[in-house]
Amino acid sequence: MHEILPHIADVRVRLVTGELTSLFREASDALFELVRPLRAAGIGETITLTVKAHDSTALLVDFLNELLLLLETHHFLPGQIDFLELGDQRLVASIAMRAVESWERDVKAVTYHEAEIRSVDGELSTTLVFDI
Amino acid sequence: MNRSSLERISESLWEIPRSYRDDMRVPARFYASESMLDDIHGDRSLDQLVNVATLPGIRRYAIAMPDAHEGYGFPIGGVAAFDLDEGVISPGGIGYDINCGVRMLRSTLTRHDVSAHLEALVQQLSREVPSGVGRGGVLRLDEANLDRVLAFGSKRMVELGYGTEADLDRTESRGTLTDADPALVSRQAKQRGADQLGTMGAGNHFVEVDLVERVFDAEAAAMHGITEGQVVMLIHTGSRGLGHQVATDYLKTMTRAMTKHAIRIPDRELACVPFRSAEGRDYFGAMSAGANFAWANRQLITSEVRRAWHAVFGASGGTLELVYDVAHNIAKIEEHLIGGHSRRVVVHRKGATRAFEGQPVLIPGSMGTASYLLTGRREAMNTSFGSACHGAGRRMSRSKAKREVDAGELRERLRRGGISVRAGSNAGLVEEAPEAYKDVDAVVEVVHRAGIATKVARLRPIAVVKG
Repeated sequence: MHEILPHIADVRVRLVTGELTSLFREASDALFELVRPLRAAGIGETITLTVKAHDSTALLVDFLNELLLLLETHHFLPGQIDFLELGDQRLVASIAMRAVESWERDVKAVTYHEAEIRSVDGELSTTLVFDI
Repeated sequence: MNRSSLERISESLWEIPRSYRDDMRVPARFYASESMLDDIHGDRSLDQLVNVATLPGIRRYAIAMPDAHEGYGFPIGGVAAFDLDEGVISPGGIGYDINCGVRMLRSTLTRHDVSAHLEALVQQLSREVPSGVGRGGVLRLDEANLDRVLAFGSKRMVELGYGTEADLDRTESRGTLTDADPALVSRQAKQRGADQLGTMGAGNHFVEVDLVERVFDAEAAAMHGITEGQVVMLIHTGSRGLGHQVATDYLKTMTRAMTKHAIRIPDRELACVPFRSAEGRDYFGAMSAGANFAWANRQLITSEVRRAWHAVFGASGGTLELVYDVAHNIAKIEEHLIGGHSRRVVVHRKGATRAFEGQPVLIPGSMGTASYLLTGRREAMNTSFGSACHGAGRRMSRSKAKREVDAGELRERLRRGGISVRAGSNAGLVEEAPEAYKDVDAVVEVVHRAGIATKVARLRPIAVVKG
């Protein structure tokens, strides 16, 4: 699950899930909830995305920024995400894309501010701050 | 942090001493009136300012302006100067919207001249200046031509016929940072910005028609061609997706490189590297290119605004002359007096405006209140690395604004206040409601009383076009 927490200028989201793949999916859902896509088409082209980072938190932030890049440069948003590989430092995802005509909110970037994936009592959680 | 942690330096200046936290290398200072302290303590901006004070090579103080509020990494409204040899450069001290800034244009018309045509002007501005997200501009550049924009900024736009030499004379750094290197900007960043030149974007960006409501400093106002009753325009935008991607790319690079440089930071978003390192030099070259893109963007929008103005008023509307253009998210190499010696430092301004002595300082407020033209003063060189505030500063989160403000009521309230508004979405409109911002008059009063920039004129919005 994810919930929006107060932040004066930007958007702070708290994510809590059971395992890493669902955390990454939940974070993607939260991002595109903020973006508010308009007139999205059905599932179309499938792409393979590879991201590398020095730890799982950076991997999550970098993955989301790659999704933002796809939105801005190709007007694509993820329809379905299958993680072919997801470790602490590398992920490979097969993403079925949906074309989108426009969207309401300009999310400039997903920041590293306050991001830290923690495991407590069998749950993974992190906070993410989106620059609006 | 509570009030007892603060030392009062002067009427408008407060200090968090170095002893507050073991890892602080310098004290943290912020400008505020007594009555603003509750707002400032209401978010994490002072904790973020203390984090800035821990960064390697920081000189004198980490500083926050009276419009400061919580950001990510640095607080918004933050200023910090780092030694060129011993200090760092941090994308988090500049922000994702590199060279977000403001420019002011003056007309020869008065409220009386424009009032009957205001709706037509708003419509024409909406047509000429692409806004919102996912909507590109009319100028599509191939990579070679985009590289020229990245290298030369506003100057390239003037070469292409989108402005005049006089525009360059009235732009900070003449709209070009010569350290820019387009080769250091990633293909992805160029892709992201390829069709965004001449576009406003969304969020708090706008094109606004204002009335000069009051002149405080007649001599300074006359120098800028400003008189009471005159209609002027403000343009607020930055480097769009290209700048956002430059910041994203280099934060990633710096996060990896920090281990090599043995730098430890209290917040990942403060990722930084020595200014003299290869990564530091590369980021400075790419950031400068992003800044040039932003200046080119505001120059092209200026051309679009002039076209809209001419379409509505024809020859009788005269010309829109640039008063000034300032950056408020940028890093620049400057000379400042430190310990009695002139030192070259890289000054980071994130939501702060350069306010060198005699320089115009533009402070946009919220869409329902006021904006200001000020003049930078010598005191700014002594106390704030030649910097002043950049706006009113937010005081309410976007989610709270959405809960508390009704779009229909807001539009009606603005209409009753004589302000015509065109916005891309109701959600975006309410997030930018006047009550979501601090009192711009109080914020400007602080910098005026502190003597870092003094009031020249107060502007009142009469029409706002938002993304």
